[in-house]
Amino acid sequence: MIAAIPGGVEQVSVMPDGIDPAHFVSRLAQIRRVVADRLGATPAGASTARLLARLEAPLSRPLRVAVLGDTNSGKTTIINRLLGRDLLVADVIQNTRLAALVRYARVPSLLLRDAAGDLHPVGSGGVEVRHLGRGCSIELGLPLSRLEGLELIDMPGLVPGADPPAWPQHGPSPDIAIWCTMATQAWRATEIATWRALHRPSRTSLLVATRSDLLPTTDRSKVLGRLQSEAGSLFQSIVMTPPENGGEDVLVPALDATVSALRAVRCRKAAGIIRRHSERLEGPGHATRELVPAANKA
Amino acid sequence: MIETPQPSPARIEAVAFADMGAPLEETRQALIACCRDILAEVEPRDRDIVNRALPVLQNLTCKIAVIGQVKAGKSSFISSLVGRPDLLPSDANPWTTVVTNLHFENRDPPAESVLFTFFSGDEWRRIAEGGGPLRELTERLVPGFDAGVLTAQLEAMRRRAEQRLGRNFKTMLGQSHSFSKVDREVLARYVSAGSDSLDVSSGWLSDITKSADLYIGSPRKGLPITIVDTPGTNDPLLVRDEITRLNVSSGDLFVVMLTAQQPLSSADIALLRLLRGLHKDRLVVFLNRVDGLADPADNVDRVIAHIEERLQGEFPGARLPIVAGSARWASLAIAGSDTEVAAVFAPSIRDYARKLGLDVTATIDAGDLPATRVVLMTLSGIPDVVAAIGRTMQHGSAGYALHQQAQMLFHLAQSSERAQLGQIRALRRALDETRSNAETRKGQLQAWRQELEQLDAASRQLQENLTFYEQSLAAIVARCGNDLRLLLGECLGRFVDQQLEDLHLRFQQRRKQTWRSDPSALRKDLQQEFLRVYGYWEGMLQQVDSQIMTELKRLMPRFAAPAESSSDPSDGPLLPAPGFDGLGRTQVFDLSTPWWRSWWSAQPTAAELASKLERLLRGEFDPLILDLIAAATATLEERSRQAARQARLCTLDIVDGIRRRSAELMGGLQADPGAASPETVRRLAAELQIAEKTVLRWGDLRTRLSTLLAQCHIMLDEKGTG
Repeated sequence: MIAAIPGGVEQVSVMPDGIDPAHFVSRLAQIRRVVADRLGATPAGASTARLLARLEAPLSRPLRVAVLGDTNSGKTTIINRLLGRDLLVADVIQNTRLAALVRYARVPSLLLRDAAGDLHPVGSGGVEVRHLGRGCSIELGLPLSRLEGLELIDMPGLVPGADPPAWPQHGPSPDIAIWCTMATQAWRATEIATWRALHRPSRTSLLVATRSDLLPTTDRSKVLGRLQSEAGSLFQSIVMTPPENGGEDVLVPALDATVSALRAVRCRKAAGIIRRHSERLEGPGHATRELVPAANKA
Repeated sequence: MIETPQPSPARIEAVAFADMGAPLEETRQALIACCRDILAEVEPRDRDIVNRALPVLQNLTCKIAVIGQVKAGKSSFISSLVGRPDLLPSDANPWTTVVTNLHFENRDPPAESVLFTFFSGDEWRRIAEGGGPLRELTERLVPGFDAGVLTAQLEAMRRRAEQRLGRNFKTMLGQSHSFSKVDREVLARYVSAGSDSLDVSSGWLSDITKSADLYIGSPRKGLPITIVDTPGTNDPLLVRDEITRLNVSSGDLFVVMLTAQQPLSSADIALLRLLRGLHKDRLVVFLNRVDGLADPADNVDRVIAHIEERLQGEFPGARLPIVAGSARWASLAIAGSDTEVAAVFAPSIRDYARKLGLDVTATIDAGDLPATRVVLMTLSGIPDVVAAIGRTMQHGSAGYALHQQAQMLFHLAQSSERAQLGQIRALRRALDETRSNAETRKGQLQAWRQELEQLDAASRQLQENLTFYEQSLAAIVARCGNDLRLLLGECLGRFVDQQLEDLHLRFQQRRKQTWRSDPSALRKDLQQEFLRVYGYWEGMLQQVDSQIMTELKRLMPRFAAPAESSSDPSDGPLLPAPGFDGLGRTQVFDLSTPWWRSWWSAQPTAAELASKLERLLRGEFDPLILDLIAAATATLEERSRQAARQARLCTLDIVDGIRRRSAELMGGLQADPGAASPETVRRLAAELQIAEKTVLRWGDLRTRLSTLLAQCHIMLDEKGTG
C-alpha cells in the first residue's frame, strides 16, 4: 500500500529508548495526513488512515491530572502551584465544592457543565439555578503555557465510604492521580482506605505530602521515610511540598516525569499497534516495511 | 524600675491546672468533713449509710480521655496541660502506642511513680476479636477497619516483640514493671513506637506494653483526676486505633483534639459518632496547631464557626465548648528559650494576640519576656481549655456523684435534726410535767400521807369505839339486870311486908276465913317498876346505839365501798318487850285448906304465919321476878347483840373501805417514786441540755450540707460554654 505512494516515505528517526512523545505524535500526524491524502482512496489506505487517526487522538490530547485527597489536604494549593499562580481559591476551611477542570484555552473562559453534559457560560450574573445539581462541574479555560498538554482537575475532598468520585462528566477519566496528604498527619487509615478504593495503578500515581512548612526540618526525612515504607508500593513517587527554604521544588519535576513516562508508554503501545497493523497489511510493498521499521523505531 | 513580680511561666499553667475542678474538690472535701462529723453524731443504725458514702467520696476521681486522630498533638497537649512540656514522648510519626494514664491523686506528701503493665497472652487475642457495641460501631463507622488486617498486624507486633525480647518474651507477658521516677526516657522505652529497628532504646518494649500508669505527685487544689493519653485513631496501624477505641468507653470526659489545618475531617466525624453511639457526650473540643495557620486573626474564627456548624449536625442541640490554641505555644511559653518565645511573634501572631484583647505593646513590643510568656500561654489556649474542662467536670459523673452524696447526707442530717427536735420537745414536756408534778405531787403526797395517817387513826378509833360500844351495851344490860333485881326485889319486899301486915291484921281479927293474897297490886307495881327500869335502860341502849350508828353512818359514805352497803342499822328486828304473863296469876292462899288447916290448926304464931307467908310469897314471886329479869336481860342482850352486830358490820365495812383507800394511797405513793424525785428532774434536765447541744450540731451540719447541696446544684446546672 505504501508502496503505492509515490515518492516513498520519509524516514522518521526516533531513539527507541528515549522516546520523545511530542515528536512521535507530530510524526504520526504527519504520516496520517500523508496516508489520507495519497492513499485514502484505497481500502487499505483508508483503514490505515482511520487507525492512525484513532491512535493519534488520545496521544495528542492533553493528559488529565486529578488532584485528590482528604478535605483540606491542600489540593487547591497544589493546583495553584502547578499552574504557577494563585488562581483557584484555597481556604482555611474546606472550600472546593465542585470539581473544577482547568485546561488550556486561548481565550479565558468559565463554563458550567451541567449534569446532562451541556455547557453553560458563567457570566457576571452567575448561572441559572436549574443548571446546578449533582454531577455539575466547572470548566476553566486559561491561556497558560503550563496547561498545554495537561488538564488539571481540582476535586472536592473525598469522603471515605462514599461512592468513588464523580469525575467531571463527559470526558475521559483521569490519566494521572495525585493524592495530597498533610505532612503533619500524613497517610492515615481513612486515606489508605479511600485510595485503595480507587484502584489506580501506581505507575500513574503521585503522593504529595503538603504543608511540610509545619514540620520541623529534622522531621521531614522521618516523615518521608515512613511514607516511603508505608505507601511506596502504591505510588510512582512521593514528594513533599513546599520545598525547604532554599530547596528546589520537587513537585513539578515529579509530575513532569510521571507525565513523560506515561506518554512514552502510550507511544510505545501505539507503535506496537501500528506494527501489528502493518504486519497484517503485509504484502509486497517495501514501503510498508519501510514504514514499519520507521514506525517501529518510533 | 520597680520590678513587679510576674508569675513565673512554669507556674502559670500549673496554677490553672492545679485548680481544675477546684469547686468540685472543695465540695468533696467539705462533704468528707461532714461525713466524719456525722459519724461522730449519728445513731448506730445510720452509721452504715455514712460508711458507704465515705469511700465513694474519698475515691472520687474524674477520668479525662484525650482522643483524636493520630498526630493531632494529644501527647504534646497533655504535657503542656500539666505543665511538664517534655513529659510524654512524641514524634513526627505516630509514636504513642500504649494507653498512658496520668493519675493526679492529690497525695500528701506528693509521690511519683510509674507502672507499666504488659499484655497477657489472651489480651492480644481479645483485641483482635473485639466485640460488643464498640466493635459494632467500629465496623459501621470507621472506614478502613478490617478485622483481618488487625489480626495480622497484632501477629506482626507479637513476632517483633518476640524477636526483640527473645527468651524474656514469654516470662514478661502478664507482668508489670514499676519505677519510682517519671522519666521521659523510661517512658519512651515502653510507650513509644520507636523505629522499626531492633534498637534497644526507644520503643523496645512498646509492643508488649498494654498500659502505663504515671502517678504524678504535684499538689493540686482540684479534684483528683486521671488524664488518659491515647495512641490516636485513624492510625494505619489498626492495633493502636483499636486500643484507643477500647479506652474510650471508660472515660468520664473527653477532650477531642482537632487540628486547625484539617478540622473535622471524616475520621473526626467518625470518632464523634462513635462517642455518640456510646452515649458519651461530655466533650471539650481543642483545636490544636493554631500556630500553623497563616493568619490566625482571621482563620481561627472561621474555622471555629465551621466546626460549630458541623458539630450541630452531629450533636444537635449540644453546645460543646471549643477552645482554639496550640500545644506547641504552651510548651514554648513554659520551657522555651527567650529567643524561641520572641520568635513566635510574627506579625500575624501579634495581630492574633491583639484580636484576643491582649496587650501587645506592653508585653511583646516592650520586650518584657516574662509578660510575653504569659501572653503566649494565653494564646496557647491552655488556660481556657482548663476552665472548659473544669466546667464540664462539674456536670459530669463527678458532679452527679457529689450531688447524690450531698443529697443523701443532707436528708440524713435533716431527719436526724428533726428527730432530735422531737426528742427535745418530748424531754421538755416530760420535764415540765415532772416539775409541776413534783410540786403538786409533793402536796399530793403530803395530803396522801396525812390522809393515810388520818385513816389509820380513824380505823383505830373505830375499833376502840366498837369495843367501847360493846362494853357499854354489856354494861347497860348488866345494870339493867341489877336495877331490875334491886327494884323489883324492893317491890316484892314492900308487897310482902304489906301482905304480912295485912295478914297480921287479919290474923288479929281472928276471922277464920280464907285470906286472899291479891298480887294484882304487886303485879301492877312490878309491871310499873319493870317497865320503868326496862324502858329506862332500853332507852339508854337505844341512845347509845343511835349515837354510834349516827357516827358510823357519817363515816360510811367516805370509806365504805359504795357498791355494797350493809344493812341499815336502824332497821333492826323489833324485839318484843318481855311479857308479863307470869304476873297474871292470882295467888290464892286458902287459909281453910286442910294443909293450911293443919298449919292453921296448929295455931301458928303470927311470926310463923308471917314467915310462912313470906316464904310462900317469895317462893312464888321470886322466880317470877327472876324470870322477868331474865327475860328483860335476854331481850336487852339480844337487842344489844343485834345492835353490836350492826355496829360491827358497819365498822368492818368502814374499816374495809379505809383499808382499800389506804392500799390505794400506798400504791399511789409507791407508784411514781421517780416522777416525783428530784433526781429525775435533774436527769431530765441534763438530757435536755445534751439534746439541745446535739440538735445545734445537727443544725450546723444540715446548714453546711444544704449549702453544699446548693453548690452541687449550681455546678450541675452550669453549662460549660465554649
